Amino acid sequence: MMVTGILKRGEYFDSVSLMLIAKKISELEIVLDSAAVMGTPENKSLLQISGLLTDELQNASDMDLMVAYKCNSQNESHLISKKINEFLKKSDNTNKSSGSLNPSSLESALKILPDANLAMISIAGKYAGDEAMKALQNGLNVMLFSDNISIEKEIELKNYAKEKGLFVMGPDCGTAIINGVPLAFANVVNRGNIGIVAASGTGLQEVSCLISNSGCGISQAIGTGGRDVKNEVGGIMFLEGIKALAEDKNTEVILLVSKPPTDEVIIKIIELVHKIEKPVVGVFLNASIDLLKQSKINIAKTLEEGAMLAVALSRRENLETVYDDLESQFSKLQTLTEKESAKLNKTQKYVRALFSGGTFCDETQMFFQKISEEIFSNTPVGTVKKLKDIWKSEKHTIVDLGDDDFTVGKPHPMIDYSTRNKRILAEANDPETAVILLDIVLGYGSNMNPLADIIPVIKEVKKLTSQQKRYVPIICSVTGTEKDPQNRTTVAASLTAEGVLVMESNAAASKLAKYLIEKKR
Amino acid sequence: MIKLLSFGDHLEKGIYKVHSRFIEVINFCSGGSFVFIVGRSIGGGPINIVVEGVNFSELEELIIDEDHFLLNGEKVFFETSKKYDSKIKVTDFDEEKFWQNLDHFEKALIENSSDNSLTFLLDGSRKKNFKSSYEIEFVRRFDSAIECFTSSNYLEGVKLIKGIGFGLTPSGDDFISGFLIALNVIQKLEKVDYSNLIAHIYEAAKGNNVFTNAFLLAAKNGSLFDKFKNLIHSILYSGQIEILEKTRTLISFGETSGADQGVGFLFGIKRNFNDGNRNSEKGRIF
Repeated sequence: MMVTGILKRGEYFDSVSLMLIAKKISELEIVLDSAAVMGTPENKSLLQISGLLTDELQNASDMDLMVAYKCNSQNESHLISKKINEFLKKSDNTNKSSGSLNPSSLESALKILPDANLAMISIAGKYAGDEAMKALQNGLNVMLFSDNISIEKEIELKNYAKEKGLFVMGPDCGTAIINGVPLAFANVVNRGNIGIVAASGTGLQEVSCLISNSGCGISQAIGTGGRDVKNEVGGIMFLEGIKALAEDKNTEVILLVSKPPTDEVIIKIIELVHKIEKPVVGVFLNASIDLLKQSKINIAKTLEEGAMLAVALSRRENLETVYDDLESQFSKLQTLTEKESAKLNKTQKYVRALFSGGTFCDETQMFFQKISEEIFSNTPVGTVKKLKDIWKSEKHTIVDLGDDDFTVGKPHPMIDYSTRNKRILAEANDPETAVILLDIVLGYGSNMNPLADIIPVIKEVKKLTSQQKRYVPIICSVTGTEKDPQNRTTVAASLTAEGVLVMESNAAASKLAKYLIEKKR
Repeated sequence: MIKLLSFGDHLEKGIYKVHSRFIEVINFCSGGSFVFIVGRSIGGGPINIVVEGVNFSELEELIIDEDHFLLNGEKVFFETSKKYDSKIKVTDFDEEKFWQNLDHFEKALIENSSDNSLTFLLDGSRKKNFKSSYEIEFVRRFDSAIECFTSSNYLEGVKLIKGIGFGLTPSGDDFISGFLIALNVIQKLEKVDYSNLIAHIYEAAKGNNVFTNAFLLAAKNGSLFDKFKNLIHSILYSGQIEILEKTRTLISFGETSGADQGVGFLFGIKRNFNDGNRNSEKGRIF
């Protein structure tokens, strides 16, 4: 006589299905005894008393299904096991879905989609690392949306993936576009010959949208998670991403986007790029460019400039055209500055930038730290000072409302505008506010109806400031495309109709805000 | 477009991910908190959001905020008029009728529930349906637990049955939930204070299964899902026909979950209401 235990991790069944399965098993003539229950400690204890607890079932948890049976031989055990899997499969299909695919574990997902090559993991951080390893062991690339994964685990996953020729995008990777499919927070962009590797989610969204809006397109956009370019991880996936794009026949130009990597990682990037024949553009916001100057990377100071350089290279145009275009943009912004600054009064001195995208917050700080020492932020970079109270602005204030301090127990501000809307009104009410700078990020994962949430507060600002006989310009960049579900053109036109100064990019919006402040000094 | 039919009075703000899926029920979880997105046929509850116009199989993400929720990115405001009240309201009731109605409920439970439910505690002949060694041990545990409960050794009884049985919410936990609901109802009927006992039972029953814990917590707080609330209301104020109908509705919840909760409730009431006087008078089972 032998006892066999089958453990189905993460496969749960309601009592109807479970009893049906248990009944079917017990009705098999060769089954001497059996049970099919969830893996609670108490059920394990009952199985032990019943002589049905096997070593494998000892490891079951509450959300795992345990099936145990007694029979006379190995051959019978194989037959029973096969039958049980049939029962479970049938029950899974009939009881849990309404025609579409709803796998409850990686194993069951792979049964449904055996050819899948990427697993997107978005579960609590403490479980996500193990699930990611399981996916890698099954030969799947991984996009790890989850955060709160230890640095040690990240390194372990990335080293394992590298060894197996796989990718781990993340942890805390919010954006990627693989084979034309937008993953997580991503936009619907044209396909084309520009490949992106980014350790910055919003940065990736901005450059991919600007490229798409210019008429070019994206071959692949690989996110790595922000920690990848720091010393501990050493840029494992950032470097693998560059190599993959270098080998990809559909990629002709490579665009790198990141908050500043550590010098050690920058050196590795420079060395790798040196071996690549394809043109490479790099946007390393707030990084010291001394090291990069010596490389063959075309360095861009802003996300917009990076996208423009990539587009020019993709079209095999002279890069001087990019600088001509930026010059022309400068003239237009200067004209607009003259017009807008004339409407401001003497007390209006400060910029109040309220961002949902963290990378935009960094990029804008880069512009402003050059003009004043009185710049404050909740996520300061360079010479910018830390806000004493993140909920209250001081002088020039540039805030990332997507930072953890603002999002505890709340949706991200790209989805839910309520926190920012309250802050917009508070800033409008401050007589020292000269300009309010905002970002709106469209695409999958973001607020599906941004206008319904932002327009009322803009109207309120106009009413409020008009009562106080002031005018506060609202400058806003809209990151998105025509093909996004929210439609960038519609959003931009509606904001413009409400008097908002809508800019093509965050860089342009920041420049306009900066010129206005400079004009007021 | 999502149509909101009802939303629970114990929803907690947060970003929720799918915990488990069934037809017309998607259980969302955020840490230890749960929200159940359900169709009309499932009905209201303290942590339910009842909706129409959604493809349940496509639901992936839920965000609950102060005055609205976002389901797969679609924003829906909570309208106060659609707030579900999970508390049972007790006004005047007829004690004799109440006992009669409990008898009707017991009969309805036995006649309508699955052979594998805990109704073997009401009708001993049903024990013959439990044949495998696991099932025999399961029955033996319950018999021992009932002995503990009848000698007021509640915590020992809870330890014997918590986490055992079939389904995502094991039968033992369903029984304990029903028992906690009974204590809450008796508090209202008799104006007695069982809060310490309720708290101790809940603490003893709580385990690693966050899903089961959510049901136990609701029961501890006297927060009722509408199938159970309607049943209790019918036992307090209606008659046999309505009790039969409400019992059948309750039993339709899972193969045994509804019935097992019902058995726990019935046991809790008969054991504790009016110090179990009716129980001893008529020498009833348990």
